[in-house]
Amino acid sequence: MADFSPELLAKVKDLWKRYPERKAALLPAMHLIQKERGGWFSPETIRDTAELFEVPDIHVQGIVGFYDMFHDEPVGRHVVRLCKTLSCKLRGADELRAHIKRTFGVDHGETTKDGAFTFRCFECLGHCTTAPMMLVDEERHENLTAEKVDRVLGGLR
Amino acid sequence: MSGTVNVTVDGKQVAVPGGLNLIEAARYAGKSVPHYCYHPRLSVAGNCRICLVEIQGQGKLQIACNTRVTEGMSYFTDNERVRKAREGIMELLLINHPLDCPICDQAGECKLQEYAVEHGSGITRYAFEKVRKPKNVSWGDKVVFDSERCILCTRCVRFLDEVAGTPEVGLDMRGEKCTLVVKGDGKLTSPYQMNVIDLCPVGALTSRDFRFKSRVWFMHFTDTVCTSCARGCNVTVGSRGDRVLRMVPRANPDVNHNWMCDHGRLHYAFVNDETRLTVPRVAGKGAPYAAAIARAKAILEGARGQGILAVASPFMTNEELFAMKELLDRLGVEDRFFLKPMGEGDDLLVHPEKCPNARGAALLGFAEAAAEWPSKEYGALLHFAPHEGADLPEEALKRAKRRILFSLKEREADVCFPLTTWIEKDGTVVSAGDRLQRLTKGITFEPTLVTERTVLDRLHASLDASHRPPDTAAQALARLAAALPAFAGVTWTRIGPLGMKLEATGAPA
Repeated sequence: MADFSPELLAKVKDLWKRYPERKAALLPAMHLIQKERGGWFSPETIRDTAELFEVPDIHVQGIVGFYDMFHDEPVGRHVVRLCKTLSCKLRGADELRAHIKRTFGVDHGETTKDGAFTFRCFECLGHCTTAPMMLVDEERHENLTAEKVDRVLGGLR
Repeated sequence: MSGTVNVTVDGKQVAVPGGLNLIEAARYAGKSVPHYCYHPRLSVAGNCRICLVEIQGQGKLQIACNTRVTEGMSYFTDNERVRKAREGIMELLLINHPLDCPICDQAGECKLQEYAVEHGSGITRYAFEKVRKPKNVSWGDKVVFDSERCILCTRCVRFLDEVAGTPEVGLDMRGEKCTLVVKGDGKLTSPYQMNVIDLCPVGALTSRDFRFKSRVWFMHFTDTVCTSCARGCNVTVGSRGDRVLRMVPRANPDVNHNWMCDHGRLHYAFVNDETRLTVPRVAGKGAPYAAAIARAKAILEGARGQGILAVASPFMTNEELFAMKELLDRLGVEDRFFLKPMGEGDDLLVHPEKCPNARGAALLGFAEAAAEWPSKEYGALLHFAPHEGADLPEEALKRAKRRILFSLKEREADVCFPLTTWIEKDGTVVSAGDRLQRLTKGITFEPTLVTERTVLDRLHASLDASHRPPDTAAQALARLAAALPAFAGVTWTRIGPLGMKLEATGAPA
């Protein structure tokens, strides 16, 4: 079996129990796998995942391509996802994006030179009442202002 | 699942086998439900939505491919709601379609074109710029991909996974960016990959071999059988100007389903070879058939006392082999062999016998040549050279003082008659599992060419004025069937377009 940690394999096996077929557990398992493998799916990780789930490589590759939360390129130590959908847009997401570009030198899909974080503009993250908002890894930051963004992202360096 | 189920399709009551989906069941009522992604030999994907039908008692339209008949079900394939839904699906599919039909190879045999005519509204309301995607993407040396034309039906994905056993194509990205991708270096590896071209209902996957050679509506199509191996996959040969342009599989559930291997599909260049022999050669010089036949007659008569070696080819039809057998019977020739080219087989279609009719040659009394040739000396050799594979070794050729050869290319011989290829004549072959199948003439390579059966019969008649040769392949087959128990009761009509099993030989299916 592919070279995954025993902890991860235990979690995946637990996931398998919850579905009628193993393939159905791919999505939750792939989040765990991505975390263990440095935040992205290399061709090797895609192969290993396919092997673990006994599905074609191309099937896993398709999932990585379909879902924005999976990455097929190396990412920084953290991933910052700024919501760009309606409520956040109306409340200044575009301005925050421009601000991040000015301050940290990264636009959508780019990683800071020091590798601290990868920045992505994202479809609705589901916190419209506290727009604009962003996600840093799995942590929410809401009611954003330029100052708040500077403080949070500056802390990642 | 089993038994019969009564359903009503567009008001017409029919009894259909249980377990059928609504597309197949509709056929029993004479109705055809349009479909792109559905294919009877692949798993159901249900993504194209063009097969929506209205089932009585159900609010929403349902996809016919993924719904099975139940007792008493009544559904509509052609009412106002269904027609409107199809019109919508067509409009959606065509929003980003490049409409490059004038330069698209699929034009003329494209489901998008057909359904646009049958089910489309004729207009688009979409006023914005179309999404652009990669075009002319190489998937290797056989298949070319056009992402803009692709409707994402995933037939190719499913074929490679479920039939060919090489899951190497998948969908990447989503929404308007969604596209097919090939894993690894982007090149297909399957020896069956070209079937995805036939499966593709639109012009997204085209054949590098056939691309831009001809508009399909200028072509002539012939239903026949592939002769690259003993499987005898049923095929349709497309030709134009008496040259073969392509070969595609023809469905036969007992032989090849809907598929064929790439090797067989692409194996026709020898037909179009302009350096082929088209007139007989006598002692290295072009000669009319009458002169060549007279010379061959003289050689055979002169060699009678010294023995004649006959070596047939497993590329010959049964009727040709029978004409040869009749001639050899007349001459009293006993040493009758054929050469069988062998190669690799696989567990899908490819058969290790690399010829169409080794079994027929054996049934007609020719012995498979052993590695060691008899050390006997012969007065003459009558030999049909195989299209490919090892020919007679020099040592065997040297055993005979005089040689009469049939060959695709000119060969050193006293008399060399031109061979014709499988697409230039009618005839029958015995494919794997003792299945008798028909070859059908599709082209005339060169009007001067006389087919082998006629040459053999004329040679026979020159030796024996009482020989009355049959005119057509069907007549020759009737004569053969009357003479050989293995072919008892066989007629050209009975074989039909899908072939028949030779029961008398007792071979397993």
